[in-house]
Parts: sequence; C-alpha cells; structure tokens
Amino acid sequence: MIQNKGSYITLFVGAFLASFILMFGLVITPMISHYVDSIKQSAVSDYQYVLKAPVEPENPGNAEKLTVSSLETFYKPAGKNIEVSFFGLREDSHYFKESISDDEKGVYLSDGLAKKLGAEPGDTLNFVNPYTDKEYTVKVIGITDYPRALTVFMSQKQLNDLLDRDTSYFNGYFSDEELTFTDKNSLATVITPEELSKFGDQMLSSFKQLAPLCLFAAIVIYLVLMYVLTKLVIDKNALYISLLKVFGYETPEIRKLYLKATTIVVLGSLILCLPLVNFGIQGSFFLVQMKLSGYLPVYIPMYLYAEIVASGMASYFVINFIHVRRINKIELSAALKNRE
Amino acid sequence: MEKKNGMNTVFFSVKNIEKSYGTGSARVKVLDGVSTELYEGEICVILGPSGSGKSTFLNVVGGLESIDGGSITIDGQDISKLDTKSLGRYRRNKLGFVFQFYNLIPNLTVKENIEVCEYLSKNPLEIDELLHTLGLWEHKEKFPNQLSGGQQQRCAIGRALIKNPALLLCDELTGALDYKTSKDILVLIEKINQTYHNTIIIVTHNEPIKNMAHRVLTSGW
Repeated sequence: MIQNKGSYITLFVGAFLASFILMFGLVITPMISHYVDSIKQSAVSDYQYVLKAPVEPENPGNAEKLTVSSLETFYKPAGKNIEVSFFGLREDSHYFKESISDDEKGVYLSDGLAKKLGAEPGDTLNFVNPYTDKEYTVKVIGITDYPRALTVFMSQKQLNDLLDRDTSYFNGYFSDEELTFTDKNSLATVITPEELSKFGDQMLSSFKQLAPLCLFAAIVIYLVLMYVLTKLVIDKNALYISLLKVFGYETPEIRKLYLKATTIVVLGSLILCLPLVNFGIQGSFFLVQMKLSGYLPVYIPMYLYAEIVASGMASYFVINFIHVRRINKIELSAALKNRE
Repeated sequence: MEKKNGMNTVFFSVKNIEKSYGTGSARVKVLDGVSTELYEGEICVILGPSGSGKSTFLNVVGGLESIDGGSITIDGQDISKLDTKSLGRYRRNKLGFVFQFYNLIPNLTVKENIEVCEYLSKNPLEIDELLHTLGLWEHKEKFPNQLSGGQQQRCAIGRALIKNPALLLCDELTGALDYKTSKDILVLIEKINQTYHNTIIIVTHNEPIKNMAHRVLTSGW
C-alpha cells in the first residue's frame, strides 16, 4: 500500500471530484422538493394578496389585512443590495406563529434572510428604500421559519410608522380561503397553493436535465480514474505479481494482496471525501446564491451519501473485474525476464 | 545410476524432453531428447554457454513452460501432464526458486521478503534459525536497497528455502556477484544441502561451480 501511495492520493482526489459532481447532480431534485415542501408547510396563509390600492374583499371571512413593502439591504458577500419583503401584521394575527406586539420594537427575520445575512436576534439591520434612498434601522428580535423568501415580519403599526404611512394603511391580505374582489384590477399579486406547486415544478423541470448529466460525468470520472490508477498499481507490480505466481501463489491470493488494499483505499476515499463533498456543495450553493435574490437552503438527504458511496463502489467493482483478468494474464515469464 | 550423497531414491527424472521456440523456418529446438535422473538430496550443476537451453531446462522443470515431448517426473508426479492450476500447486508445494537478479520486493524487509514464501507452506522452516543460517540475522529489518549483492542473494535463497522445498532451482545464482561473494554463496548452498537435504539444480556458465556438484550436466546434453 505504501509503495502505491501516490496513486492512492490521486485516487482520493478523483473520488472527491467525482463524488462532488455526482452529489451536485443528485442533490438538486431533493433539495428543491424539500424547499417547496417547506414553503408549503411554513406558508403563513394559503392565499396571499398584494393590492395596488386598499380595497375590501366581498367575502372577508378570516382574512387579515397587512402592509407589504420592499426595501433593500446591503449583502456583503456579493457586494450589492438585495431586496427584502416587509410584512406588517396585526398584533393578534393568527396567521403568524410568533408573538407580535405593537409596543415591542423589533422585527422577525425569515430564517433564509437570517442565514443569508448572518443575522441573529439582538442585531441591528439597515435598510434603504431604493426609490427614495431613505434609510431605516430595525432591531432583530427573532427568527421565524419561512424559507420562501427574504422577508421581515413586524407589527403592522410599526411598519406603517416606519414608512410614514397612516396607521390604518394596508395593501394586502393573508387568508386561508380564496377572496373575491369586485375590482380585479386592484390586485397586484395573488399567491395560491397551486402557484406554489407550479413554482416547485418549474424549478424541478429547469434542473432535472442536470441530474443525469452529472451522474454520467461522475460515473465516467469514477470509471476512468479507477481504471487508470488501479492499472498503474497492477502494472507497477507486474514483476512481483509474476514472481508470486512463480512461487505458487494462486490468483485469489494475489488479488487479495494487490486489490484488497486498493478496495480499502477506494472505499475509504469515498467515505472520507463525503465531509469534503458536503463542504463543497454548501460552498457552491453559497456562491450561486450570492447571485440570487432569494435563499435556497442546502438540503442533502442522508440516503444521497449512501448513493454516492454505492455508485463509486459499483464503478470500482466493474474495474476490479477487468483487473482480475489483467492479473490472470500476467505471464510467469515476466519474473524471469525482468531485471532490477 | 550411481548412488550419491547417501541417498538412494530417484527423486527427479526427465525422459526425452523436447522444447522448441518459433514456427516454420524460424523454429529452434532448444531441448532435444534430454534425459537424466537425480537422487533425493543431490546437487546437480548444469553447465553451458548462454543460449544453450539450460534456463529453458530450468523453466520446464519448474513448470513455468510446457514441453513439446517427453516427460518430467518429480517425486513420483509427471508434471508434464498437469494443468496450469496444478502446476501452480506443484511450484507452491515442491519448489524453491533463486534468480540471478534476486527479485526481492523492494518495500519489504529481509524478514518480510522471506515471509512472502513462508505463507505458502504448511510446514515452513523456522525463520529465525534460517536467518542465522543465512547470516542475515543482523540484517533482518533492512530493506533490499540497504544490502550488498551477496546479502540480497542470501535473502533470495532464504525466501526459496523457507517453505522447505524438495527441489531448489537456482538460475545463475552467482551471476551478479563478485568472486568472493560467489564463493560464500556456494558454501552456503552446500551447507543448506547438508542441513535440509533439498535436491538442488544450479544452472550456470561458471565452470568451477561444478566442483560442488554431485552430478554435472553440460548443455549439448
């Protein structure tokens, strides 16, 4: 094993590279599904309405009025401002699970925004209105599970105060039932459960071609790399393999001597590179998200790690089979012809 | 056949063995009806110049190459009729090989190189005793590149002997050594023969080696 350490180090690097590509391809589908599921689970209400003008619905039911606004904050890693939605809710809102008080100054950040900005409760954040350049400072009092968008939740009264609007101002609704408006033109945006599913499907369809491509690339890398490196190990040791045959070693014994070590290194490399793969995926998505206005939490289900190791080992066993034939073909005469 | 070395069992017998290389007009007959017998425990030296077929003889006796005709009987077993797997078992159980260029595994110590073949035997020699016999006890933890040519050849002999083979095949075992070291190695081979009673075939082009032999064959056969 020691005399082949150069090959084995390359094997580890290659295993990492192939595992990373494979993980990248495989992780997208479960990550988006997980994202869409968590959006659905954490939705404040089934329907969200943003209005162009404050109008009343025909069937208010348990709908709640809210104030919606967009401000920007500086996102240091990307060196630019990102847009953040502000939701002002009423004090006793039954759509928001955290406790909002008109008297307690402060805001809740969606977990995506908190992660993206690296903000924690107690921090103070600065925002700016991109149209007026007016600046706002708010204190973070909590983080809430809301992965769908970069959002700030706060008291409607406080938000209206902050934006210099009338206390009774509103421009949206949260509702678990579909609302009917006399003037459909007064609606700016409506988010429904169907839209959420559509959003997930769209994301999945845009990325689904990537998965087989990554799978193909990774398997090719696994196969080529493992073939070349294990071939190197066997070729380098052809004289000694031949010598062992001359001494009377049988093929399974030789295979055990030369391929067992390689098998352990392959399996070890595949397992040991998993934390690096995880780190690489987190880092890659961090870089990708620097360019995105939203936040897509990285979600790697455990079974993917097992799939990575299984794919790598399956590729190796194909190669191993080929090399067993190579070992069988090494002539006894190699030991007699070769000279040190 | 004359009785030698205090033994009277015919251990080794080749009858009319033939071996050719090449085809058509390029075909060369290297062994042409070679016959001989050896008693158990004899040292046989095969003398001859390069290309005379002595290494081929060693290879066919060692089951490394097949013969075109004749028979090779060793310890009552006709090895010319054995398949590849059985020949492997024959080499494992009965033979020890010593090569001119040692062929030691460079990343294994002296002791580990010998242990490579110890593994093959159900009844190996005692390795520490063998290391003392070979004069390698002080060098047992050294790697081949830390040894002189003579010490490397001693290690190769140890590797061949550890499984206590009935037949030791030596191909130009002093070919890469100086005069004094060659002499030491040959003294060692005689000592081994007396200690372990292995039948030994030595192929060489070095004529003085015949003085240690119970039997001398010259190519031309």
